[in-house]
This record gives sequence, C-alpha cells and structure tokens, in this order.
Amino acid sequence: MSILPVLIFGTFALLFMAVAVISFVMFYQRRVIAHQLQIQQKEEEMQRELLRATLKAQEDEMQRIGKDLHDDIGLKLISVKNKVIGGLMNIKKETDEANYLEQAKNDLEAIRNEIRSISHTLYPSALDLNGLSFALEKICKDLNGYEGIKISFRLVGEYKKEKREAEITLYRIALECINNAIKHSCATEINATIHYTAQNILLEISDNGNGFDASDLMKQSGLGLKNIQSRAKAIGAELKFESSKSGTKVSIKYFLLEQKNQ
Amino acid sequence: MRYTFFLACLSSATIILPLTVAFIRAKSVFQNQRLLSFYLMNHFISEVITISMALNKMRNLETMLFFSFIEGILVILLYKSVIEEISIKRFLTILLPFYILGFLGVYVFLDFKLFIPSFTYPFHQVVMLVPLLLFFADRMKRMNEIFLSENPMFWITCGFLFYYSGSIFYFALHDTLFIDYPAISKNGWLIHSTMLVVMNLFLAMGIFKIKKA
Repeated sequence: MSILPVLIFGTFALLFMAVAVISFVMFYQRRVIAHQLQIQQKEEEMQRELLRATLKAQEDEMQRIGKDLHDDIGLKLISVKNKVIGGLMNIKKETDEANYLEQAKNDLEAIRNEIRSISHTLYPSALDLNGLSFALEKICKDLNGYEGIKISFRLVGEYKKEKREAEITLYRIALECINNAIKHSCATEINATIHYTAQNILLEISDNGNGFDASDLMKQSGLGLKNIQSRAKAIGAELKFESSKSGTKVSIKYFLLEQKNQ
Repeated sequence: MRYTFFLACLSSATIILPLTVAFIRAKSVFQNQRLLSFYLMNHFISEVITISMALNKMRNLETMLFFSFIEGILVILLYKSVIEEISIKRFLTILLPFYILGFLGVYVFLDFKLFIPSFTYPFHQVVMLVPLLLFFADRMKRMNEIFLSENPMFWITCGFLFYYSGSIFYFALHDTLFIDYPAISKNGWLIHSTMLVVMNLFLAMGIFKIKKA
C-alpha cells in the first residue's frame, strides 16, 4: 500500500476533526447566546408587566381619589355654598355680614373649581366617555392661554378607540409633556398632534421654547422624563426626544399590530 | 528538491505577515502580548536559521527540534495565562513539566540514534493540541462574555489547531517518507507548508483583532 493515501487521508481526517471542534464551539456559543437573549427578553417582559401593574394600581388610586373629590367633596362644597347663598338671602345687603358671606361664597366657588380641575386631572372622565383624541383636545382647549401660551391640538387620521391602558398612558404622557413645556421651556406655543394609522398611533408634543439636553436631564431625578420613559416602556411604545435651541419635540409611537399580536 | 526548498522558503516567509500586524498593533492592549511576541520571534528566528542552514547544506533537524521545544513551552505558557478556569490552569501547570520531560525523554531514548527524528515531532504536535482543546473547553464555560470571532485568542487557537493537527501525520511519517519515499516526501512537505501558511494567516487575523490602546 502506498504511503501517500495514508498521509492524505490521515491529515484530512485530523483537519476535519479540527474543523468539527471549532464549528461545535461556535455553534454552542450561538446557542448559549440565543438562550441568554431569550432569558433577557423574558426578564424584560416581566419587568414591563410589573411596571404595568404598578402604573395600573397608581392609575386606579388616582381615579378613586378623583372620583371622591368630584362626587363627595364637590357635592359637599355645593351644599355649603347653597347654605351660604341661603344665608345671604336672609340678611340685608351691603352689610359687613353680607360682604363676608359674599366673599365666602366666591371662595367656595373657587375651591370647587380647583377641586374639579384636580379631579379631572386625576380622573379624566372625558377619556372614558369620548376617547383619547377628545380628551386631549379638551385639555388643550382648557389650558390654551394659560400663562399666555397658545396650546393647539390636531388630529390626523381617523380616531379609533384603543385599550384603556394604552389611551390613559398616552394621555398622561401628553399631559406630562405639556406640563413640562409650560413649566420649563419658556415657550409661547405648544402643539399636540395625534396621528392615527393602521399600524400605529403617533403622538407628538412640540413647543418653540429654549430646548433642553435630554441626557443631562435624565441623570437628575424628579423631572418627569423618567416618568414618561417608564410609562412608554410599560405599553411598549417608542419614545423620541428631539431638542434644540428653537424648541423641543417629543414623539411617542404606539404600535397597534404588535399589541394585537401579544 | 529545489521546488521543496522554494516552497519551504515561501511558507516560512508568511510569518512576516503576523509579525507585521503585531508591529502595527504594538501599542495594543493584550495581557499576553509578551508571550505572543516571544512566540512570533522564536518562529521567525527558527525559520531564518533553519533556512540558512539548509542553504549552506547543513543538517538543521536538531536546530528545528530545539526551536520547536521552545515553541512548545511558549504555547503552554501562553494558554496558561489565557485560560481562566483554575482546574484547567492546574492541568496546564502539570502539562508543562510533562512536556519538557517527555520531549527530552523521547528525543534521548527514541530519536537520538535515528538519522531523522521520528517520535519527538509527533509527541510535540500531539501535546500542543492539549492546551488548544483546553482553551475551547474554558471558553465554553464563558460563552456569554465575548463573541468568539472578536476574541484574538480564538483566531490564534484556530491557526495553531489547523497547523498542529494538519501536520501530525506528516511528522509521524517523516522518516519513512524521507528515506523510503523521497518522491512522496515532496507532497508531505506541501501539506506542511500549506498548514504553516494557514496558521500564519490565522495568527495575523488574531493579532489584528487585538484592540488598540
């Protein structure tokens, strides 16, 4: 027997084994990484679920307080106000007592309006009754002219009712963004736009204020950005901040198809 | 004979490739840079000396063996410093004296009286496979840390693995080929040269993957 086939066959057999070892190690790593990715995804999903549950509990509590304020304290204030009005009818006008009661009636009215406003923020009944688009339009109308800022709303596409959890989250994010713009941006104009497409809902809040550095703000605490981020994460929405010296734009994209598939 | 010699020179010259890459990446961050540099220098010097000896028609087999012995020690030390698993590290600590004693023992008792060393080279090649396989075993325990293709030692190990496994048969049949089948010996040398080129390419790739400082 010639030695050449032995040499060639032996060498190729060992080379094949070397290739097999390398391929096995690479394949094994791919599997390990895929497995870890799967675990990571599950952990992220669990975290999101936890966040959702926390936000839901918070939302329920806010809703309960809002309803209590509106139905219980609001009614009691009306009752006190009616008693004051009754008292006013029984005393002479233009006296000190009448002036005190008149003042008390006005103060009660102001308190009632304040409580109504707080209760509507805590429990946006417009959202449940007429949907996100209407609730946002209403809040923009209510806030328009506040501190001299022009606040406008625009609906693009046809409104479609979505899950309450998604609508309330988008509503809260929009409110937080408008609130931030009013408080920190020195803007004279705020625009809220909601786009409805077959695939997603895109909410955009822009202002013509002096902008901010998002990365700097994220490091600090107590500035609603973290709150906005965690709310967006809870519903699996994509959040984008664009800021320059000529203004800020916050975009939140909520994917409809993905949610339906879940 | 001239063809074989030309082939040997050509394949040996490919060591310049990893050396050049190592020179470019001189300021890189790699914990085993010194050992790797020693290995490349040893490789380069051995090629220069053995080829010079061959050119002057001098017997260079023992010189090659000496450099292979140094190479073996450097490879084991390199993997001892790379491997993180303590039990595998301990195994390599035992492997080093085993290799030194084994290499010298095989040469003195089996090959010393032979015209062509027939046992020392295969022993060297087989022992060299051990740290390489242990490196993969160690990496398999740390799969999540880094992608293998991004690890310089992965490429270097692949190069060594191809070279040492691919040339075992050639070295095992070295004396038979040289004495009884001189015509076939040329083909054996071709296999060895190819493996050497492959190893140098992998070494260059591995050194290229080392991150810059």
